Amino acid sequence: MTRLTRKYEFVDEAAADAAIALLPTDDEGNPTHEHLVTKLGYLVVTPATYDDEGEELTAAVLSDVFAVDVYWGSEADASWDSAIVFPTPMGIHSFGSSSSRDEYAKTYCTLFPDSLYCNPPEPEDIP
Amino acid sequence: MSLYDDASLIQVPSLYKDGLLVSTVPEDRSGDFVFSRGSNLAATRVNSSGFIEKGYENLLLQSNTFSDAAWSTQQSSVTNSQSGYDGTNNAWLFNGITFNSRIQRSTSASGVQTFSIYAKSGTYNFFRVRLDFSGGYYEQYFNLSNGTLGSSAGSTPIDSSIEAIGSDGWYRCFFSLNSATTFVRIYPASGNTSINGAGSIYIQDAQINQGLVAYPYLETTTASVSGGILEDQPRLDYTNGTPALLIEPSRTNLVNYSEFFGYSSWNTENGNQIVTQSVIISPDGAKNGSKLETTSGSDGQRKFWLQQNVAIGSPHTFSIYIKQVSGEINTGFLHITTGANDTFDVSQAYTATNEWQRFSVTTASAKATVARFLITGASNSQVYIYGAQAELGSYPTSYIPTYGTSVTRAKDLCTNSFATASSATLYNSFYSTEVKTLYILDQLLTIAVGENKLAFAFTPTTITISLNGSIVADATGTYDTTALASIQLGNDNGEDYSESPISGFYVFPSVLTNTELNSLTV
Repeated sequence: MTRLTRKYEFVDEAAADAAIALLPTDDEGNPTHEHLVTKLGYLVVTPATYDDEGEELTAAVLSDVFAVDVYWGSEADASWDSAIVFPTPMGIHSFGSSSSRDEYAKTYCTLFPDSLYCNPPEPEDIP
Repeated sequence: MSLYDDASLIQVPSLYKDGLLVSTVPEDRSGDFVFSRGSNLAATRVNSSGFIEKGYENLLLQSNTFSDAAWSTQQSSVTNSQSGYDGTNNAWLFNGITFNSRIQRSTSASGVQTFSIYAKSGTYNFFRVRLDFSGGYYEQYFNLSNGTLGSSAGSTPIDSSIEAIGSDGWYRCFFSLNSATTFVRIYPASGNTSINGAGSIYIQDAQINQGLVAYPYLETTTASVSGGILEDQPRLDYTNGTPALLIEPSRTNLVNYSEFFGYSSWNTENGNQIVTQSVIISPDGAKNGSKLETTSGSDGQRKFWLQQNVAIGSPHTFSIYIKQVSGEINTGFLHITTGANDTFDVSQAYTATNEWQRFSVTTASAKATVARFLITGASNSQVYIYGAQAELGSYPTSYIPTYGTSVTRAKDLCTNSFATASSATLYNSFYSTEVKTLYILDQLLTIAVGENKLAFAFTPTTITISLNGSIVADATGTYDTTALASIQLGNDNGEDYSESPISGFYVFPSVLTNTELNSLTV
């Protein structure tokens, strides 16, 4: 069974929490849709800068959207589709799963077949 | 006849495969546990040799099929069935025809990674490896006549090395780097810095794995191949000397580079901290431990730190492995600050010894969405460091390696559908790192640091509990012990994890006597 890593963006944490709360559960409150939610929060767009003493000169610039990754046990819940995003599968948060990472990369290339990631140009030959 | 002959289920963690934990009893396998986690690269354990064992993989496809179409031969040829370093005939003769001969292929690997390949002299004694990334490249020559590194060009790798394999002229050549690698090229070389002319070398078993060292080779064809800990493999942890089942909640290591302390996300103050990468055998048994030297003698100028987003009001734990450098000052502090600079919310002193120790510090940010996790050495101190981890939680869980991004280890789940009678006895032995309170039905007991052996006999109206050889509770009441149709080890439906590795779990279909209970737990 290949679990799915899917990435989502919400306007803020409250919107993310609202979506999480709407995921279906049984009578005892247990999820009927196997999943693991990881709130990544407002991702750093530009890192903070510091002086030689380590004092902050400029604060980090954060994304204006709230990022959430979900590790679905099988299919992703369709009610979340409106918030789904597909960042390039390099240097992004993962659930430490080889199979899920490969599935995400394959899906990415299905959706974006002309992207540089899926069609890396041969680098300049420098003998 | 042994008391254990009466057990209907005996689980002593020892036999397992990916997705399954085998119980000794019953023999019809109805008591086996289904195990799931879904994380291999984020999961670690302490193995029977005492080292941290990881999941790892070879990201380079067709890793020993250099004739595959994915590998493009440029002014060169490859011939298989050559005598290899490992006694097989799986090596390749790699023959360059003219200037700039090479084989090459695209690849996709990001973050801290190590390229490795086995090679041996042919008519040429040198070869060159070049790895490209967007906007740059790494290039390294290797001398196969004497096992030394040759020239390098492009970006500077984190580390590079060549190691003799056996006595037949084979070497494993590798270099580690931090980039988003897109292309691999391998060239036979007539000399150091020269790829002119026609000549050959032998090659075998190329690999790109995440991390600062080359892991044991894994053969790939059309997909990456994993080794070490697998995605749904039960983790038998030997931290306490005997195997115990790790059952942990999901955790995210917020530290993007947990082993590569030279990356810019780790900050120094006034340049007073010097990191030397890959100088000592780390707790995982590889030479990927770093040395942290603090040169400043002044207070307030000894910070080595990184900054991460945190959730307000939630506890965060920062942990790192530390070992002393012999003869050097070996003390310092771990801190977490979530307010103004240098206002530590919490500090924990450390004294490094000759053994690797994991130190940790925990605090909850009440005021900031960004925290700084710091190591401050005493004046002119030197210590070895490895395996930094910052996680949302009140205690450190098992180490989660990261090589450029945060990584989440999914939660362990270990369940079966073994029915337990409404009047029965359960036994559970487990390890605890602290004294704490435990509830069983309406009874409260205190468990000790170390291994605890617990057995309790119950009926719908009674409960008797034995802990470490003594009866600690013997009560009556009204207990709902019906419908015990499944067993979950270490958690409750993926919540309320026990934090305690499990060394044994038994079910007896009868109510044992006090003497029998104590004989189980003594």
